Amino acid sequence: MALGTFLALTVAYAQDAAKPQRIVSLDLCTDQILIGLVERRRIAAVTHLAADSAVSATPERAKGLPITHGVAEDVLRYDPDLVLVGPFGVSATVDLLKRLNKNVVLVPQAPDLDGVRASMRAVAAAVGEKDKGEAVIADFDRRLAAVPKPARAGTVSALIYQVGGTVSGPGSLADATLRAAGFHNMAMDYRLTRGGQAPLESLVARPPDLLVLSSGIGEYRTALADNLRHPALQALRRSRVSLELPWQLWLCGTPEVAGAVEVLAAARVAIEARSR
Amino acid sequence: MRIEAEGVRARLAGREVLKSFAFTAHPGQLTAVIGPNGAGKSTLLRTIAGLLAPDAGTIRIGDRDFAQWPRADLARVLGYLPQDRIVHWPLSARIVVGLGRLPHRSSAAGESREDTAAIDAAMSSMQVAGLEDRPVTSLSGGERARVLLARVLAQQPRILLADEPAAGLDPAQQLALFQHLTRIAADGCTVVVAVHDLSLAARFCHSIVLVHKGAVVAAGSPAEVLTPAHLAATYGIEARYHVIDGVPVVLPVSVLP
Amino acid sequence: MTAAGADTRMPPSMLLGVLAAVTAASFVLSLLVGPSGFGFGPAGEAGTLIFWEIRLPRAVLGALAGAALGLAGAALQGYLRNPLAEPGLIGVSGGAALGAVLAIHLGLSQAVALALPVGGLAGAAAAMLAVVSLAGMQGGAVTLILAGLAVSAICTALISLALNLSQNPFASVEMVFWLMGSLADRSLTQVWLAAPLILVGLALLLSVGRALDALTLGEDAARSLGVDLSRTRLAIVAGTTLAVGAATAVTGVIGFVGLLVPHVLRPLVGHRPGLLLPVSMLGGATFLLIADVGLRLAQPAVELRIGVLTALIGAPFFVWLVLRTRGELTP
Repeated sequence: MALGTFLALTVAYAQDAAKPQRIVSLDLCTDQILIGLVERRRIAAVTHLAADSAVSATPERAKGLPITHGVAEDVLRYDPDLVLVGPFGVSATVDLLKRLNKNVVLVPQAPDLDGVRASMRAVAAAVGEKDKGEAVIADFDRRLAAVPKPARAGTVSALIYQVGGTVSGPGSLADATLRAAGFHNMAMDYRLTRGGQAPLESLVARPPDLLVLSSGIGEYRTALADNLRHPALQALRRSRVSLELPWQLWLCGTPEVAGAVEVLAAARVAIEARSR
Repeated sequence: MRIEAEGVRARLAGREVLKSFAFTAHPGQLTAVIGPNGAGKSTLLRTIAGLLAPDAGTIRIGDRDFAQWPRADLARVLGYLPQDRIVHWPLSARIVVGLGRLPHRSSAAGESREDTAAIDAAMSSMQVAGLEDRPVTSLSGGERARVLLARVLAQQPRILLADEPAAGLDPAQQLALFQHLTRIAADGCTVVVAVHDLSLAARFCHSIVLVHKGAVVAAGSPAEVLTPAHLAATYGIEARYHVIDGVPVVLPVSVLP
Repeated sequence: MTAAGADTRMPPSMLLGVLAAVTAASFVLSLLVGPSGFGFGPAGEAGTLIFWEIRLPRAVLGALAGAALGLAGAALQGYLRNPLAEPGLIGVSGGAALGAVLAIHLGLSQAVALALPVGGLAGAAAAMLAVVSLAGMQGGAVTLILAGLAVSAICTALISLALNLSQNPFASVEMVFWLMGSLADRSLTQVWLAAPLILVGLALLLSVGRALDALTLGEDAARSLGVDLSRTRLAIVAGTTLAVGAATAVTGVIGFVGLLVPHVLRPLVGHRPGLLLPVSMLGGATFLLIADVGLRLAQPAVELRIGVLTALIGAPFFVWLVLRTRGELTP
């Protein structure tokens, strides 16, 4: 009995010891998944973006965590036993860390809802919290399943319109979010510029049923956000249904995406009710 | 219109270039300002033209003190021909001559009948009518000098100040230019020219002002001013004043030690 | 008109009339073109919105910015008697962009509506003062252009610094907006902010025509013709700052228009710097309107910003100018 308890404790300890204890994350998206999966004491450092309310869906949960600026020397300071990286911008650092035999795990960006699940699984596996990861995914799927389905898919259109006139097209998580909420993504109907922008004129000429603004009018001190303050867009918002859905919710493949789908689906139901 | 200057002092970049200067020029006369390089000839002309504010002294143009001449009014009676024959853009000769009409024109108005007449008269008087469509930048030195003189004539000034108008011209062009100036003076204009060529001054000018180190050394008729003593004291040369076939000639012989 | 007509080919009044008609036609054309199709926009409320809130501000700003750049270029070239002068080249545009960036990023533009154009003006004025004190008003062409390059470089550096420090997630894209101006999706709000200042600037610049004509003969001769040089200098500096500063504050930097337009049109007016002023103003407006129409027709096949297009046309032209100047200087 006592032996069994002892053995169980030892196994538990060994398992715990096998789990990475000093985890560094170098990507906004892995930051957020990581914070949701492990105890704070195991997180050695996250990026400064994790606590930035402009881009992070869960900034308050990252407050107080140490911050790394992502260069190899800074990362080594924390003597990490796991480094989580995303696909963007750190390849030189990643190469260097790998050559120093650091345990580097690359988590791909989520292009759709399956990608969201894959990202969460990848992080969960790397940090040794598979069970917890599966639980989070199950909750995510439960929320998505509870979203009301449209009578006929793709009859109500929506457009996610961002700073500088950029819209979210196919292959983006935002597009997947729109479709999961039962919308037709209007971005496909416009002739977009190569930078993925829709001219305001196209928007006014053929407006979507739902206009989704990814940020508030006063949110950005930038000339690029002038398009959000444009009188033509204001007029459009007065005459159509529009909502402000923070892009933080769909910027990364985190469980927060389910929240975005819920908000969008509710808006769709309201539009369908009105047109009936 | 008379020019009278008295006790004029002027500085250029902090250096006193004119020291208590007295000067008079009369209508109908060609007055030469001579003196060695750096004596203050150009400064004198620029001061009289109102381009350089004197530190002290009085300048009277006609019956009015300088201060009482508004710039725009002065531009209608006083023409100034700078030494450098700069024309920055390849304007046609006629347009350059037409610039002389600017003081007579209100800002928006085009060329009036009076303007056209003045321009035509100035061009034919300087014998440049045939060059009217040529870009000034393509003209020879002599042609350009005549066009620029025609520009001042188109201004119909009562006083003409010309800074070394003959510099860089060949002898024939120099003679022709001074004949033009003589004729302009004969029409009643007060003509003042800075001159380097002492023989030209002696031959064409009614009176001569000899400047040295910013002060007037002598003023009067050519024979009075162009004496060996004056030339030795100012230019540092031994020179002879001759009259050959009725034409006065100043002949520099040697540089004094 | 007597012989003067021979070298202008056209009497000035007729030339100005023709140019004004061409500018008006370009303006109308600019109103007709857009991604929702040729014509004055689709029928109904959307069409009204498109015409009044999207196409009209774009056309008005295109015309005003083009006029400001063309006229300021002609005035600077005439005043400095140098065909290489241009508001962008001598740092005014860069300064205006910096001023506007600071007004936006310090949050001033949200507190006070006029902060944006005023910031642009302040930046343009500061840059102009810096260039003038570096090069001196009588400085030669090379000194002036070097001073302009130095001030432009400082402005560019400070713009990137400001965007960097602001932790703006769009900093890099916005940098492109300021350095390669754009007329896309500008609004009437911006027109109301910039237009009065641009118009005052244009009026000031148009007033120096006689002085520029006289300056052809050098400064002394100009003054003897009754020109007040300090008033002229003030009008040109203030006019350029107002017109180009206000335009740049809402469109970003649009380069080379001020260099190219006066240069191409100069032979049409027999090289007269005074007459070149209104001609370059109309020419600049036409050039920018037509370039913008071409841009919209080419999109989305070709993705260009207006500032990139003018630079693409202007930069080789500048190279040609440099080569020709070199040819003139070496015997």
